[in-house]
Amino acid sequence: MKLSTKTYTFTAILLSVFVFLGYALYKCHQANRKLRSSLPYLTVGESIHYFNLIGMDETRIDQSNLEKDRPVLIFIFSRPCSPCDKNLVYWKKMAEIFKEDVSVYGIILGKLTEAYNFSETSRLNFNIYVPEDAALFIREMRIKLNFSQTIIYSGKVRYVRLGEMNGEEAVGIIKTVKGMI
Amino acid sequence: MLKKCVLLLSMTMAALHGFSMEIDVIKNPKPTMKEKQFVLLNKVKDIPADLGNDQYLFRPTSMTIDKNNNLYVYDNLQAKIFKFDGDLKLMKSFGKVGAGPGEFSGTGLSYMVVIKIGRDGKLYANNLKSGKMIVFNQNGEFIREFRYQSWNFIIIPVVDVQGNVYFTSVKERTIDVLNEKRVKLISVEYEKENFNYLFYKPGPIHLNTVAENPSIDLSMDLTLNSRLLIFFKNSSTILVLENKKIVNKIRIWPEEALDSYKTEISDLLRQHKDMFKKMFFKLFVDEDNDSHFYLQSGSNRKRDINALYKCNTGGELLKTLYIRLNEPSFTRFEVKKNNLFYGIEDEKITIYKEEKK
Repeated sequence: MKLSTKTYTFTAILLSVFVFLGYALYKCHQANRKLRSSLPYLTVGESIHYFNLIGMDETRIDQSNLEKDRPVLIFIFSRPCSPCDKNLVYWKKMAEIFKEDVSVYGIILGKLTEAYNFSETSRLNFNIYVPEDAALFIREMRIKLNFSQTIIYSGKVRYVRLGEMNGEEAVGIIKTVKGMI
Repeated sequence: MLKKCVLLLSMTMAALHGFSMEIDVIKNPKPTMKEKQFVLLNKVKDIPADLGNDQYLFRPTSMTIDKNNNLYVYDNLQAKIFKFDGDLKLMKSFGKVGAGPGEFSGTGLSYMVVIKIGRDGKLYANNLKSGKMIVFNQNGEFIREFRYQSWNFIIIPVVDVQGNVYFTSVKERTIDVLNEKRVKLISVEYEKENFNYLFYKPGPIHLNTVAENPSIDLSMDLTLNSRLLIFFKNSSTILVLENKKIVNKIRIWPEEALDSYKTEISDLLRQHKDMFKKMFFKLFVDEDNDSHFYLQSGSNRKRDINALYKCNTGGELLKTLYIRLNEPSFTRFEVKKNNLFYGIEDEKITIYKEEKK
């Protein structure tokens, strides 16, 4: 079968449009990735690639602790940090409510002695850890210092709350986690 | 604008008035009573954060109990009041943030609300930030609210059987009883007692606070038989009033508490001249007995306890109840009813009972 010039032209245009669309999509995806990684926090749907932590009793935590069959609550804080202090009451209540069904990691961006003192004076009811390599952790998690973060993780990031939360948001987080158990 | 001017004027007047206040130091107070019996309080239970039905208690800051043993708890982070039955099962919650009638002005520690069931059976919520008293019935339905004058001061609402509200007047240094229409019914002058201190004169920071608000260190409560107790925290003295008349003046100076306080306050003042502490910081009446009341001391360092002194309006020390100090936690007792002591500790409601021998 012999194709007409008209058909050739039409096919060429169609192909060009597809190529252009593909290129545009690729560029958008790249821009999106760049934009995401420029954000000072993880976004919903992302995975955590570095989770090497040291506990107060020197226990080591790594990536595998995130892959268990239960949701994970991650509270990131630094000292001094006023929003983190204000969030403590909610974090403690969440740790109390979910002590059986959820893994809770409080991560302090500081030294182990600092973590120990903080845990004692604040009477924390969840374990706290410091990153094995703080610089790497901050880079991978894209944390800006003095920034409190509350993260729900289950295979990937399900929820991120930056800074100080209020009662309504805390209730929302509790409901979300309950829905995942 | 007018309200701000009035507030500024009253503060200035109060300050001027305050600077002329006569501070008296009782340098060597002699004990007026002796601790006989120390009784341990055992923890019975606490209220969990998860109350069920998607209701959560985050930061209880105030609580009160009605005649039927229903407990009302104010959550400072949600601006909500939770009502529990006698078995501590959640019955309902009410209240929200807003500027409308019956609404609280905000959440967080700068928006303190103190609740109390008045002797008239209604629930009074003192919204300190906006100087507004909100009245609910026991089902949590809004009845009315009123703003009180900037020179009137009250933290814990004190309301008698007729629904009259008791305030201290910063301007006049009186205790004013106002009816529902905010008409002053009676006015009792508070004595010079308010500016008496034990052992040492406090530093300038404390004195400036007192100058701004002379009634800051004064608290009141009404016994079941409508006797008014006026507690002067600085001199640890209680005036008992019945029908406007002073029927008793009690110096609550127990031997051991006085001794422990002397040591502690001298240590504090040695650390910094502006450190100040009271021997007893809280008064609340016994909701099971019409003449008993409790005073909570911050701590007794000698015994390492957080003590609660049970006295009667006749001026006797009946017993000393205590829990072990567990720093940095601290239990603040709020109510005693049905032989249970309700306290707030580590942002939780904790219930204690006397140990049986």
